[in-house]
Amino acid sequence: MNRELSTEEIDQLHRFCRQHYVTHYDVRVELVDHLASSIEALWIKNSALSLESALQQVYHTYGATGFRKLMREEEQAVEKAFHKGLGRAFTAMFAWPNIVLAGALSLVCVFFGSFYEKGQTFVPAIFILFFCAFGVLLDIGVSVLLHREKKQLREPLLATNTYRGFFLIFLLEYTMCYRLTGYLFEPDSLTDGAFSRAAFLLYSGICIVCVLMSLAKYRFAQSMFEKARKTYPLAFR
Amino acid sequence: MNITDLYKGSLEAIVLQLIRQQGEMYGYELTQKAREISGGHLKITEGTLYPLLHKLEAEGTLSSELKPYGNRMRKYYRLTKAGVQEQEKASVSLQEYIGHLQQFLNPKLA
Repeated sequence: MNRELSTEEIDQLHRFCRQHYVTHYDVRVELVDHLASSIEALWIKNSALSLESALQQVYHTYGATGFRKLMREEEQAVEKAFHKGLGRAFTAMFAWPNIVLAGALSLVCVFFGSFYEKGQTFVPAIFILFFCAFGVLLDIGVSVLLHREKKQLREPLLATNTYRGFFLIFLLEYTMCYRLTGYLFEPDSLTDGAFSRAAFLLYSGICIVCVLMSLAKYRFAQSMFEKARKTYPLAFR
Repeated sequence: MNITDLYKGSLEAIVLQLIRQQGEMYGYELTQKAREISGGHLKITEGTLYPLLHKLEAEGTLSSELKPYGNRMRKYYRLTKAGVQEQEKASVSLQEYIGHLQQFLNPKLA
């Protein structure tokens, strides 16, 4: 009968991977199975080989950098998948109920815009406050959700370790709003009539896109953890 | 030229083809099967295979399931409905590519 790794030996492989910087459970669980399969293949040829010697032989095939290349490639793949997934979540926002909602919001914009006179600042100010507050509330929602789910994790997962990505999108959204807000309150742009109704509507459009991005982030974060919970139940409490 | 380098652009199509043939496969099994079929020429490293599998999974081409195997967990991959279509497209593209290559190698046949 072929020699197989015991539970203690599997734990030893997990410790070995952790010591070699493979800390994320989703990467480690597959790597441990791969190492174990390679070791068991060596044992078919020589069953007297110790686990340590077999492991060193297998680890040697990863080259001088060990598991670092694997980890780097995994991180890049997860980051790409994150951006693609978020992009898909964003485009999915343009479904019928959301288009109707966005249309209704646009009508509200047009309604507010009809009160707008050159030189007034209170209408744009109400607008900015409304959209920024809504966007910030949604982003707080995403942070709370991520924090709550992170607390449920028994082991870190690479697939859900995407806070940096969310933060970059947050920065992009609010840099966009900030730049436009600065332009809006620039005294020259108001007195010179540079800020037209068309610009007001353009600004409204950008705000709606920002809110949709925040909604997409919230839904994507939810689905990311749901999927992780389904695939790696042992990584959760 | 190293034969392994020639396989690089076709790796995704090869992985999808193997998974379709077997129904479901795990990482180590894929590397061994690829090596066996290619007569030892195609050596898929873990640094190439797992990121590719995870990319295909995130794109919805593959689905996965973690199952206990002996004293450890093993992750099995299978094609989704979209994955089957993707595999068929990849297979057609690969065959077209082989046809074009043969025209380069045997211009008289063209």
